[in-house]
Amino acid sequence: MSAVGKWLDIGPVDQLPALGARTLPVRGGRKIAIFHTANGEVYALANQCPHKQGPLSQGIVHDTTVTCPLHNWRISLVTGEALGEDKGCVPVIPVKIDGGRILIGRAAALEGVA
Amino acid sequence: MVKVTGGQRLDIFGIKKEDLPAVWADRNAAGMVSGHAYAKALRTVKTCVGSNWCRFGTQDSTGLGIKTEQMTWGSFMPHKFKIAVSGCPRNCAEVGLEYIKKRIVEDVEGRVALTARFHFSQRFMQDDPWAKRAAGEDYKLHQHLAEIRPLAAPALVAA
Repeated sequence: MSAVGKWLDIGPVDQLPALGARTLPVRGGRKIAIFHTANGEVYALANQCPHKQGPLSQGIVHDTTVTCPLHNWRISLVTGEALGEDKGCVPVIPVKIDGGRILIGRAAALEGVA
Repeated sequence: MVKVTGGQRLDIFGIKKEDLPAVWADRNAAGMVSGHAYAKALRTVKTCVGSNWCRFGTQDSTGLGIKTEQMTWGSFMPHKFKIAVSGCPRNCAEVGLEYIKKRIVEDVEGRVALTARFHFSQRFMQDDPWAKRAAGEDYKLHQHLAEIRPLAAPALVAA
Protein backbone atom coordinates (compact mmCIF):
# COMPACT_ATOMS: atom_id res chain seq x y z
CA MET A 1 0.00 0.00 0.00
CA SER A 2 2.92 2.31 0.56
CA ALA A 3 3.33 2.65 -3.20
CA VAL A 4 0.10 4.62 -3.56
CA GLY A 5 1.02 7.08 -0.83
CA LYS A 6 -0.69 8.35 2.25
CA TRP A 7 -1.94 11.62 0.76
CA LEU A 8 -4.22 12.50 -2.15
CA ASP A 9 -3.63 15.75 -4.06
CA ILE A 10 -7.07 17.23 -4.77
CA GLY A 11 -6.12 20.56 -6.33
CA PRO A 12 -4.85 24.07 -5.59
CA VAL A 13 -5.99 26.05 -2.55
CA ASP A 14 -6.97 29.04 -4.70
CA GLN A 15 -9.88 27.05 -6.12
CA LEU A 16 -11.64 27.32 -2.77
CA PRO A 17 -13.86 30.35 -2.17
CA ALA A 18 -13.00 32.46 0.86
CA LEU A 19 -15.24 31.53 3.81
CA GLY A 20 -16.86 28.80 1.73
CA ALA A 21 -16.58 25.18 0.80
CA ARG A 22 -16.45 22.87 -2.19
CA THR A 23 -17.38 19.25 -2.45
CA LEU A 24 -15.39 16.17 -3.35
CA PRO A 25 -17.43 13.08 -4.22
CA VAL A 26 -15.80 9.71 -3.58
CA ARG A 27 -17.00 6.98 -5.88
CA GLY A 28 -18.52 4.24 -3.78
CA GLY A 29 -17.92 6.31 -0.64
CA ARG A 30 -19.25 9.38 1.08
CA LYS A 31 -19.01 12.95 -0.18
CA ILE A 32 -16.34 15.14 1.42
CA ALA A 33 -16.63 18.89 2.04
CA ILE A 34 -13.44 21.02 1.86
CA PHE A 35 -13.71 24.25 3.87
CA HIS A 36 -11.72 27.48 3.64
CA THR A 37 -11.62 29.73 6.72
CA ALA A 38 -11.07 33.49 6.97
CA ASN A 39 -7.46 32.81 8.03
CA GLY A 40 -6.87 30.80 4.87
CA GLU A 41 -6.83 27.44 6.67
CA VAL A 42 -8.30 24.40 4.96
CA TYR A 43 -10.30 21.65 6.66
CA ALA A 44 -12.16 18.59 5.42
CA LEU A 45 -15.20 16.87 6.89
CA ALA A 46 -17.69 14.31 5.70
CA ASN A 47 -20.39 16.40 4.02
CA GLN A 48 -23.13 15.29 6.40
CA CYS A 49 -24.34 16.84 9.61
CA PRO A 50 -24.58 14.19 12.37
CA HIS A 51 -28.07 15.49 13.18
CA LYS A 52 -30.20 15.08 10.01
CA GLN A 53 -27.49 14.68 7.34
CA GLY A 54 -27.62 18.33 6.24
CA PRO A 55 -25.07 19.36 3.57
CA LEU A 56 -22.35 21.06 5.63
CA SER A 57 -20.65 22.33 2.45
CA GLN A 58 -23.60 24.71 2.02
CA GLY A 59 -23.30 26.04 5.57
CA ILE A 60 -21.80 29.31 6.75
CA VAL A 61 -18.13 29.16 7.77
CA HIS A 62 -17.02 31.29 10.73
CA ASP A 63 -13.78 30.97 12.69
CA THR A 64 -13.03 27.24 12.63
CA THR A 65 -16.71 26.36 12.67
CA VAL A 66 -19.39 25.63 10.08
CA THR A 67 -23.09 26.07 10.79
CA CYS A 68 -25.34 23.46 9.20
CA PRO A 69 -27.90 25.07 6.86
CA LEU A 70 -30.71 22.80 8.04
CA HIS A 71 -30.99 23.26 11.81
CA ASN A 72 -28.17 25.62 12.75
CA TRP A 73 -25.95 23.04 14.43
CA ARG A 74 -22.43 24.38 14.80
CA ILE A 75 -19.74 21.87 13.89
CA SER A 76 -16.05 22.30 14.68
CA LEU A 77 -13.92 22.02 11.54
CA VAL A 78 -10.98 20.93 13.69
CA THR A 79 -12.52 18.07 15.67
CA GLY A 80 -15.79 17.46 13.81
CA GLU A 81 -17.64 17.68 17.13
CA ALA A 82 -20.97 19.48 17.45
CA LEU A 83 -20.57 22.59 19.62
CA GLY A 84 -22.81 23.98 22.33
CA GLU A 85 -25.53 21.76 23.73
CA ASP A 86 -25.71 19.52 20.68
CA LYS A 87 -24.08 16.11 20.68
CA GLY A 88 -22.62 14.42 17.62
CA CYS A 89 -19.46 14.07 15.58
CA VAL A 90 -18.62 14.27 11.89
CA PRO A 91 -15.69 12.26 10.53
CA VAL A 92 -12.65 14.53 9.98
CA ILE A 93 -10.33 13.99 7.02
CA PRO A 94 -6.74 15.15 7.69
CA VAL A 95 -5.59 18.00 5.44
CA LYS A 96 -2.19 19.44 4.71
CA ILE A 97 -1.14 22.17 2.33
CA ASP A 98 1.99 21.63 0.29
CA GLY A 99 3.14 24.23 -2.24
CA GLY A 100 -0.34 25.73 -2.55
CA ARG A 101 -1.96 22.33 -3.15
CA ILE A 102 -4.47 20.60 -0.92
CA LEU A 103 -3.55 17.10 0.23
CA ILE A 104 -6.03 14.96 2.12
CA GLY A 105 -5.44 11.73 4.00
CA ARG A 106 -6.10 8.79 1.71
CA ALA A 107 -7.26 6.33 4.34
CA ALA A 108 -9.80 8.73 5.89
CA ALA A 109 -11.02 9.91 2.49
CA LEU A 110 -11.66 6.36 1.30
CA GLU A 111 -13.33 5.22 4.50
CA GLY A 112 -16.50 3.29 3.71
CA VAL A 113 -15.42 2.46 0.15
CA ALA A 114 -16.09 -1.21 -0.54
CA MET B 1 -42.10 24.33 -7.93
CA VAL B 2 -42.81 27.81 -9.27
CA LYS B 3 -45.02 30.06 -7.19
CA VAL B 4 -46.36 33.35 -8.54
CA THR B 5 -46.92 35.77 -5.67
CA GLY B 6 -49.36 38.64 -5.26
CA GLY B 7 -46.65 41.13 -6.21
CA GLN B 8 -45.90 39.47 -9.59
CA ARG B 9 -42.84 37.80 -8.06
CA LEU B 10 -41.69 34.33 -9.03
CA ASP B 11 -40.56 31.89 -6.34
CA ILE B 12 -38.56 29.15 -8.06
CA PHE B 13 -37.70 26.25 -5.78
CA GLY B 14 -35.47 23.20 -5.99
CA ILE B 15 -32.71 24.67 -8.17
CA LYS B 16 -29.37 22.95 -7.60
CA LYS B 17 -26.39 25.18 -6.79
CA GLU B 18 -24.53 24.01 -9.90
CA ASP B 19 -27.48 25.07 -12.10
CA LEU B 20 -27.72 28.61 -10.70
CA PRO B 21 -25.49 30.44 -13.23
CA ALA B 22 -27.56 29.03 -16.12
CA VAL B 23 -30.79 30.03 -14.38
CA TRP B 24 -29.48 33.57 -13.83
CA ALA B 25 -28.48 33.73 -17.51
CA ASP B 26 -31.95 32.61 -18.66
CA ARG B 27 -33.72 35.08 -16.42
CA ASN B 28 -31.42 37.96 -17.37
CA ALA B 29 -32.08 37.24 -21.04
CA ALA B 30 -35.80 37.55 -20.31
CA GLY B 31 -35.25 40.89 -18.56
CA MET B 32 -35.99 39.50 -15.10
CA VAL B 33 -32.99 40.31 -12.92
CA SER B 34 -32.74 37.88 -10.04
CA GLY B 35 -33.17 39.48 -6.64
CA HIS B 36 -36.09 41.79 -7.23
CA ALA B 37 -38.37 39.21 -5.66
CA TYR B 38 -36.26 38.49 -2.55
CA ALA B 39 -33.31 40.86 -2.15
CA LYS B 40 -32.75 44.00 -0.15
CA ALA B 41 -33.79 46.03 -3.15
CA LEU B 42 -36.76 47.44 -4.91
CA ARG B 43 -39.14 44.52 -5.16
CA THR B 44 -41.20 44.01 -8.30
CA VAL B 45 -43.86 46.68 -8.59
CA LYS B 46 -47.26 45.40 -7.48
CA THR B 47 -50.26 46.55 -9.49
CA CYS B 48 -53.97 45.91 -9.74
CA VAL B 49 -55.19 44.89 -13.21
CA GLY B 50 -56.23 48.48 -13.99
CA SER B 51 -58.55 49.92 -16.62
CA ASN B 52 -57.54 47.21 -19.10
CA TRP B 53 -59.36 44.48 -17.21
CA CYS B 54 -61.38 45.95 -14.35
CA ARG B 55 -64.78 47.64 -14.81
CA PHE B 56 -63.92 49.95 -11.90
CA GLY B 57 -60.47 50.77 -13.21
CA THR B 58 -59.93 54.40 -14.18
CA GLN B 59 -56.23 54.31 -15.08
CA ASP B 60 -53.65 52.03 -16.72
CA SER B 61 -52.02 50.82 -13.50
CA THR B 62 -50.16 47.86 -15.05
CA GLY B 63 -48.62 50.19 -17.65
CA LEU B 64 -47.40 52.58 -14.97
CA GLY B 65 -46.12 49.61 -12.94
CA ILE B 66 -44.01 48.42 -15.87
CA LYS B 67 -42.63 51.93 -16.46
CA THR B 68 -41.79 52.21 -12.76
CA GLU B 69 -39.92 48.88 -12.79
CA GLN B 70 -37.95 49.94 -15.85
CA MET B 71 -36.95 53.16 -14.08
CA THR B 72 -36.04 51.63 -10.73
CA TRP B 73 -34.49 48.24 -11.56
CA GLY B 74 -31.08 47.61 -10.07
CA SER B 75 -31.74 49.73 -6.97
CA PHE B 76 -30.26 47.48 -4.33
CA MET B 77 -30.64 49.13 -0.92
CA PRO B 78 -29.93 48.52 2.77
CA HIS B 79 -33.54 47.36 3.12
CA LYS B 80 -36.20 45.96 0.85
CA PHE B 81 -38.79 48.47 -0.29
CA LYS B 82 -41.91 48.13 -2.32
CA ILE B 83 -43.83 50.25 -4.81
CA ALA B 84 -47.38 49.55 -5.92
CA VAL B 85 -49.85 51.11 -8.36
CA SER B 86 -53.61 51.12 -7.94
CA GLY B 87 -55.93 52.20 -10.76
CA CYS B 88 -58.78 53.53 -8.64
CA PRO B 89 -59.58 54.57 -5.06
CA ARG B 90 -60.58 51.00 -4.11
CA ASN B 91 -56.83 50.47 -3.91
CA CYS B 92 -56.53 46.76 -4.76
CA ALA B 93 -52.73 47.05 -4.90
CA GLU B 94 -52.78 48.32 -1.31
CA VAL B 95 -50.82 51.51 -1.97
CA GLY B 96 -50.14 54.26 0.47
CA LEU B 97 -48.26 55.21 3.63
CA GLU B 98 -49.15 58.56 5.18
CA TYR B 99 -45.54 59.69 5.56
CA ILE B 100 -44.65 58.72 1.98
CA LYS B 101 -47.77 60.42 0.62
CA LYS B 102 -46.79 63.60 2.46
CA ARG B 103 -43.26 63.54 0.99
CA ILE B 104 -44.14 62.43 -2.55
CA VAL B 105 -47.73 63.37 -3.38
CA GLU B 106 -48.20 66.60 -1.45
CA ASP B 107 -44.68 68.07 -1.57
CA VAL B 108 -44.05 68.87 -5.25
CA GLU B 109 -40.66 70.53 -4.78
CA GLY B 110 -39.46 67.73 -2.51
CA ARG B 111 -40.60 65.15 -5.04
CA VAL B 112 -38.63 66.80 -7.85
CA ALA B 113 -35.50 66.94 -5.68
CA LEU B 114 -35.84 63.30 -4.58
CA THR B 115 -36.42 62.19 -8.17
CA ALA B 116 -33.25 63.96 -9.30
CA ARG B 117 -31.26 62.36 -6.46
CA PHE B 118 -32.60 58.92 -7.29
CA HIS B 119 -31.79 59.21 -10.99
CA PHE B 120 -28.30 60.46 -10.11
CA SER B 121 -27.68 57.43 -7.86
CA GLN B 122 -28.99 55.07 -10.55
CA ARG B 123 -26.31 56.31 -12.94
CA PHE B 124 -23.72 54.53 -10.78
CA MET B 125 -25.74 51.71 -9.28
CA GLN B 126 -27.98 50.37 -12.01
CA ASP B 127 -26.28 47.11 -12.78
CA ASP B 128 -27.14 43.44 -12.53
CA PRO B 129 -25.05 41.83 -9.76
CA TRP B 130 -25.57 38.36 -11.31
CA ALA B 131 -24.53 39.25 -14.86
CA LYS B 132 -20.85 38.34 -14.41
CA ARG B 133 -21.65 35.03 -12.76
CA ALA B 134 -24.21 34.25 -15.48
CA ALA B 135 -21.50 34.94 -18.07
CA GLY B 136 -19.25 32.35 -16.45
CA GLU B 137 -17.22 34.14 -13.76
CA ASP B 138 -16.29 31.79 -10.89
CA TYR B 139 -18.23 29.00 -12.58
CA LYS B 140 -16.02 26.42 -10.91
CA LEU B 141 -17.34 27.38 -7.48
CA HIS B 142 -20.56 25.66 -8.51
CA GLN B 143 -18.83 22.41 -9.35
CA HIS B 144 -17.11 19.68 -7.38
CA LEU B 145 -13.48 20.45 -6.54
CA ALA B 146 -12.48 17.05 -7.88
CA GLU B 147 -13.66 13.46 -7.79
CA ILE B 148 -12.01 10.48 -6.19
CA ARG B 149 -12.41 7.23 -8.14
CA PRO B 150 -10.80 4.57 -5.98
CA LEU B 151 -12.00 1.55 -7.96
CA ALA B 152 -10.54 2.53 -11.34
CA ALA B 153 -6.96 2.35 -10.07
CA PRO B 154 -5.79 5.14 -7.74
CA ALA B 155 -6.88 7.81 -10.24
CA LEU B 156 -7.85 11.35 -9.38
CA VAL B 157 -9.49 13.70 -11.84
CA ALA B 158 -9.26 17.41 -11.12
CA ALA B 159 -12.27 19.55 -12.00
